[in-house]
Amino acid sequence: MKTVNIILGLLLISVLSSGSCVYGADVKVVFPKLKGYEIVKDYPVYIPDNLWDYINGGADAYLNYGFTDLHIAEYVKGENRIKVEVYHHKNNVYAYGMYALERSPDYQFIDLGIQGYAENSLVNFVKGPWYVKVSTYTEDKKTGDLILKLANNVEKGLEGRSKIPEVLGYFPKEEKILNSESFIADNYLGYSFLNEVYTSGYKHNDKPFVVFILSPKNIEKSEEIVENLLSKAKSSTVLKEGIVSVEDPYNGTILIKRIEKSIFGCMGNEDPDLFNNYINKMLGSMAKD
Amino acid sequence: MKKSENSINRRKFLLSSVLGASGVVAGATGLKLQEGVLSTSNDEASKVVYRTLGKTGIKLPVISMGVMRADNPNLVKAALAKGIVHLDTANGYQQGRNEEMLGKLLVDYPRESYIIATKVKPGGRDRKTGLYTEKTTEEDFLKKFDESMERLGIDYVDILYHHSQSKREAALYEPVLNAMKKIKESGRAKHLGISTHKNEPEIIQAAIDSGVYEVVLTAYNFKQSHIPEMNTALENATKAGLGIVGMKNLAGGFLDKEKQKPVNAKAALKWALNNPNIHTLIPGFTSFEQLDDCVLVMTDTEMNSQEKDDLMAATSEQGMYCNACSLCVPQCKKDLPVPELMRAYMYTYGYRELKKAQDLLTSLDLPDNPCSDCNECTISCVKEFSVAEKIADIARLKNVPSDFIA
Repeated sequence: MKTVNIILGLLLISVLSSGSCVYGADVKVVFPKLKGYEIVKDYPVYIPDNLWDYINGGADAYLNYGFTDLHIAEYVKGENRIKVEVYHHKNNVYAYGMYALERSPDYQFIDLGIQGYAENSLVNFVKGPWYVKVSTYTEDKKTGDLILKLANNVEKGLEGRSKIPEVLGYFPKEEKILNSESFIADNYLGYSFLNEVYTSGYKHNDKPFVVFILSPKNIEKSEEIVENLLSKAKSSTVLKEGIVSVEDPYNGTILIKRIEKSIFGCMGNEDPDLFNNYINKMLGSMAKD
Repeated sequence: MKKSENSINRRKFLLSSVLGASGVVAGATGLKLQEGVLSTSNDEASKVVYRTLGKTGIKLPVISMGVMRADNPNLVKAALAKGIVHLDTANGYQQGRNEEMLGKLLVDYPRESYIIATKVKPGGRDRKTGLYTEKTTEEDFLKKFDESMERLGIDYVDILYHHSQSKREAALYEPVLNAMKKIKESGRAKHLGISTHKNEPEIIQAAIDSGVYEVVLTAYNFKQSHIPEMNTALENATKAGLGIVGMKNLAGGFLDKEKQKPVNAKAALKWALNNPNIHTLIPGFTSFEQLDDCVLVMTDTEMNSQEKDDLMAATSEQGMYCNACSLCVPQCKKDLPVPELMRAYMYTYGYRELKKAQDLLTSLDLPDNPCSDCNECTISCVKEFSVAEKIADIARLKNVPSDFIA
């Protein structure tokens, strides 16, 4: 179980580690110059108390993902306007979670920060605790190239990791659905006891499924979570290698396996051997790290 | 002293609102009968309380679903299975993913089995004035609506809202109204509405005057500082035949800045529903437990004694709300206007009205750190506020440049 202890330590560090310890109006974001454009900063620094004023009901999700402050600048040249919104979250994991929540698999992904995507009139990316959106009304290639250049310069000025959150890096690469990794802050699968969950999508024999992992603060808490999940189940069956098949009334069949305080889960594929194989690969990756 | 009296009046109003809940519920009971709620069967589904959304004629359970935070389609399915029929989303939620998620799951449901509302906010608004500019166009509104319809994958929405307005002029901005009317004429929106969570009474009146809007989606909760004005506006709207949908009913969900004291959700929802001019609510639940709570409210809008107690405690939450008794004033060695400072604190953390708080602080003309040369606070607050701590916390707001306050 030594390996597992290392893993759990890494999981905890991953969630707790922060790209910044300064929040609110005290945070300074330097907006890079763009030739020919004037930088206008007539927006307030939005904080959790007034984010609603800017994005209305959309604010709820951001607040859930540890939003701390938002810095906005507009680049103006005649009729052309480019808006840069820099959302600051409490750490890189939560920023990534928020980014992933708004990400569509249909976007054209680019290598920027941890990850980004570009369309004609927008470039979004995440880096460290920052989730950045660069957008404009003009939809032509020239403007598209310009906002991509600006996004690159904004990225260079932001401190923080350009690597995917550690735990998501432990998910096996084979059969993984591209850009499907995410971090769910709370109420995963609609249950209030499933929080801070890392997930990734997979496809085996053309059948999609999801693998997830969470690691609460101690074994007791982990046991409590499993008990909660079982208490909601229509039925549950112990399979092999400590894997339990849970018939959830809302989410269908969920395979779970608890190893010390970590809980591994799989939805959409009921093959315990396949699931165990994934768990072992994750444990292997964690042990190497 | 006028300000203090206002504070006391508000508190009295809130308390009487809670204590007098049975009276309000009696009114609601009348509404139940008027709306023909089926109460003869023991079946839970038959106990659902319905209200009619104004002249739209749409009969809705008093609880609907604000989908804005939900990313689990199974939760929406469960909500529909438990009798919720009205789903509320918006063009901008999760950058469009919210509408996409709904579009994918609603394929499996007959179109007439649910009511769906979405919201569109055109670009080009001047942030400082809250007004639209020449950059705000009919075409932009129509384009965003087209995006929403493509994501939702349906032929029509039941309600299309002009999203998040706080100024009368913006609510009545002609290019937007023209776009909305065109959409309705085309049959792609059955009814038109407007949403607001700031200066709500002004927007509600604009909606009445417009002759275009049929539904108002408005913030309404027990912690609002202008409940009497809201109630008057809602009554006028109902008389004018508008449907009223309530949102932000949990007032942020927590009573304290640290988010350790959750609001009793059922009590807060029932408080809103005790106003018969509110026709349905759109709580943004994200778990099955929260859904179950909402379903309970859907069949029973009357507060029990525990809920009344919780709400009364919430309205007088010691960490946030000063009742302006002013007993602290003679105790302060520096003669500080403590009730006003506590009110600024309440504006900031209770009502999230930073501008109002800053204006109040500026009008008080105090030094940057009013308590700086006091070693020990001599105030013993009857509500056990940590007065010095709260003053130190709130006084900082004065120095934030006004441009930084929305």
